[in-house]
Amino acid sequence: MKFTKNKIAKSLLGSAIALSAFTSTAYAQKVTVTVQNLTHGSHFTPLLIAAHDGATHLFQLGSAASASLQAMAEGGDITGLVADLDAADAVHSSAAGLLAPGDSFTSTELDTGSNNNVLSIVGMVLPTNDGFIGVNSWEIPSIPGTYTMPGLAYDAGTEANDELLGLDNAGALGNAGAPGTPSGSAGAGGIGAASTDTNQTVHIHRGVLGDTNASGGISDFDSRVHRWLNPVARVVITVSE
Amino acid sequence: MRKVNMKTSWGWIVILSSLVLSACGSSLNEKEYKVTLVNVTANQPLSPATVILHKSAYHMFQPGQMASVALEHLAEGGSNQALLDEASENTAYVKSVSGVGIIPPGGSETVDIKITDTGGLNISVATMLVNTNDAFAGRSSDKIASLKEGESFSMHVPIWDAGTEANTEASGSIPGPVDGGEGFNASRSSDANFVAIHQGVVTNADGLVTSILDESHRFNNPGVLLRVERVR
Repeated sequence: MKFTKNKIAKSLLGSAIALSAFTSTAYAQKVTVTVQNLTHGSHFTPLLIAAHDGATHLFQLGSAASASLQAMAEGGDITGLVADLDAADAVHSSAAGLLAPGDSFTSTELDTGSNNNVLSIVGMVLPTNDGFIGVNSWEIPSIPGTYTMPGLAYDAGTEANDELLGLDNAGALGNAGAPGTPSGSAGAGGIGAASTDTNQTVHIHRGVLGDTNASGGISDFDSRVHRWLNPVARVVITVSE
Repeated sequence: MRKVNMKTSWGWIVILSSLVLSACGSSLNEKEYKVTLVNVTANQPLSPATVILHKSAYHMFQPGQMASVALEHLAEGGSNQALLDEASENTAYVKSVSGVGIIPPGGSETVDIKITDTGGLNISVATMLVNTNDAFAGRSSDKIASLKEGESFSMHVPIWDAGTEANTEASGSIPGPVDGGEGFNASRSSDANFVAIHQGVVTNADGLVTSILDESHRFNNPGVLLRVERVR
């Protein structure tokens, strides 16, 4: 079978490669990050935006979530991650409240100092059981400028995606259920969309299932409102010297 | 101050690390790459990885174009032998390697490739999501010639529909552990017959009562995290 050259294919994927031409340098930069919620019916819990060293990770794909990440992903609690970052001499900025669909949050200016040249972002997606929007250890370029990247939805792998609301203390570590639907359209009486997580490491979220039954069905989420596809956020990073 | 804009038309881009290189006296023109695939799906085991290094004239697949029969073998049945054979006969072929086995959800595999060539080097990778009719995660022809010793990059690998088999999700049609059904079938009459981004699976949890798949088999892009490191 003979293939012919295809310009469309080039434009589709040609820009998707970016060699890491930026070498690690040990001088301070100033970084400001804006995150926009691109979902139409889901909120982000207070975002945590951090510049840290290369040895620090808020999460790693294919590895089990830390208890601190689990608390953020299941209930929006970032205090554990903040403590972890402080212990690693990282710098960070966090939002005061929920980020509604379409809205943006801009961090304070982060000074990377001599070591904190890696950027990570996390915040829980509501409603989910343990879904979060994340940017994972992106190396801050040494060249000043404005950089744009997608924010993807990850699954912490720590809780079954039952998509049930109204369970007791659902946002607490290890407790089943989703902690709320700030955008409304909450159902009730579902039997549960899932009972286990096959992949118990941090992975790409398979998406909300939902249903259209407000008083039963398998899920308490609304499939017409609460679904999304990646990317779920637009991340704009401004780097200056 | 110089402004730099990095546009991402498709978004499946992540830059991770560039390591500081340590000079070592390598022999003439020998290069060594470590290629890692991490399965970031919820419940889709991946068929043994296919990694091919080549010049620009070879294309493992192209969006909007018909899949080769060799790619059809991979996308429908998870077998990469035909794809490796097809590539090796191409004049642009440099070297290839197959992973040793299934990569489970959350699992990863790293393969090592040594070459003595070459300028204009490209990499292509592919692996089947085995609990589907004909879905595969793949990247075709990413340039890696400028990757220096000690440098690495990471990329998101999209999930494609080979377009060679209808997405019936029916019992008997899916080769993965959920079903143990049919793999490769040469007929293409039931599908669009071109490669495109996969629309996802419907599953019996979302109204397709004849689907052998449940909600755990759903997926969102990307399906794989790919890391390429030049170690020498």
